Amino acid sequence: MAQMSRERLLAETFVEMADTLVDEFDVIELLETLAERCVELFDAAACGLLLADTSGRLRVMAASSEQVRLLELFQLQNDEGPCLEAFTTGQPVVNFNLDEATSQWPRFSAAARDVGYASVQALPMRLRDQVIGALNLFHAKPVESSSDDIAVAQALADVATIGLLQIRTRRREAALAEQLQVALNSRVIIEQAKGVVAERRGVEPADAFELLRSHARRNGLLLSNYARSVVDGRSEAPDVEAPGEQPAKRERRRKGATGQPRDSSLTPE
Amino acid sequence: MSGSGGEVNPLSREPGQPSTPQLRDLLSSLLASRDGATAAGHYRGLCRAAAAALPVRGVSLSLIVSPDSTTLLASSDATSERVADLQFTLGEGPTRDAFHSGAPVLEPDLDSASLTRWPGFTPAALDLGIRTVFAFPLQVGAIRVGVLCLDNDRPGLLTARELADVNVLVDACVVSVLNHLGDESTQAGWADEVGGYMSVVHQATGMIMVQLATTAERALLRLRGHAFAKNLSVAVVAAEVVARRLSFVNWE
Repeated sequence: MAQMSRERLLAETFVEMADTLVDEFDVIELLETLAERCVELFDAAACGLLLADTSGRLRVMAASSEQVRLLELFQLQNDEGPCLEAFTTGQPVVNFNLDEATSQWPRFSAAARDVGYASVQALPMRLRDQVIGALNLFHAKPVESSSDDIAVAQALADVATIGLLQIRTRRREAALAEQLQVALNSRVIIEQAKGVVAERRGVEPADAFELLRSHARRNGLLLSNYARSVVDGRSEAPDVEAPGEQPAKRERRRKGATGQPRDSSLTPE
Repeated sequence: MSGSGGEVNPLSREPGQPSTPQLRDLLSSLLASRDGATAAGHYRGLCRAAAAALPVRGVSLSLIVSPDSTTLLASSDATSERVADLQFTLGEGPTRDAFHSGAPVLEPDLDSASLTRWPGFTPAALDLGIRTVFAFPLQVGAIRVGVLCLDNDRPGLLTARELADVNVLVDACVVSVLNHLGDESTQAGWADEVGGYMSVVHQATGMIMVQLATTAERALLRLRGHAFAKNLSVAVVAAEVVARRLSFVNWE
């Protein structure tokens, strides 16, 4: 697929995030999409999104990579690190250089350098004074992100937050805290389904996720619902796609984001 | 959540830890060995201790008995048992809703709640003097274990701190019930690995399900049992499974 201009990718990403305002959406899928787009938009090595559960523990809800050591880096920030800082203060941590940073967050900085990252940013996911988590970007080289870049990343985090908080007003009295518990459980269901698919189809968990996601999209299903039905045995594990199908799938996704209906009965395959 | 109310900052205490010593004792007794106590007696004690530790009147614990129903396992007192019975008899109520939706159900005032939600349950619960019901699903992803239901005789929501405490208790209940189902000696240390977001544990659960052609719940118990037998953490064994260095195929 031809390289999309950054402006166009950015515009489409905002539309994808805004999708949550108009129809039923899957929280995990929203966050996974945001993590992937952030890697592309900000030329980052990795991106993760952490939400706090009701007991204030940060949990990884989406990551651009399945790399175990990356996931550990996110988890480690329950003790120290830029995500915890952004979450507790509500302020962004920008252009944090891991080479010079040994005095602040020594454990986190050393672990991040070990994985090969040179700089890190963390942006709070907030709406007015409510902070629900943080967006974490890692770069392989030291970066000096411009204030424009930071503003764009913060705007993406804010739009995703609005989408998440939107749930509260749309579904009767359930509070945000409860919806976050549901989102956390959805994440667990998806991990269980990835295991089922990985074993059934002989693929890696990251590929299993793509199979689940593209099947759900093709059939107009919410990812979490479909993942649950795979674990419960009510749905078959998705088939491994023929080579060459990937770009088509991606194109379809972008199309979906620009306003075409998601319902499979309305979307020509 | 960090909120403007100032009433709660969950970070003012250790994340994932209960806020009171009373609740801490409850959790350790929940996860400790039960010295031959019957399950019903054990969980009745749990419900009573939970009702005392939390700002609620009563507590009941229902367990899954079929893919679409639960039954009462234990309650703190006769009124909570009656609240659970009502829901069973009428086929509606917060326990049922929490179980089916997988989401907590919080009703801060039955007296001003719409009757369309639970037309039979709401007036019957009010007759018993119950004003609030909070039902929390006991679950690990697609594994559904049961529901913890709290009731109160005065209106009002739980605060964020109280909700955080309830969620810690819910996580411990899940592990305790799974331990019972697994019929193995309990192991307190794995509550965090199961309740928390440990992607490898859940991926390994899915893989073992297929390897043993069993349910997610059995797969998780097998994973836990293996870790216990080898004196390893569940996460370490799970990582071996996901890396395909350990398989449960041909073990049965």
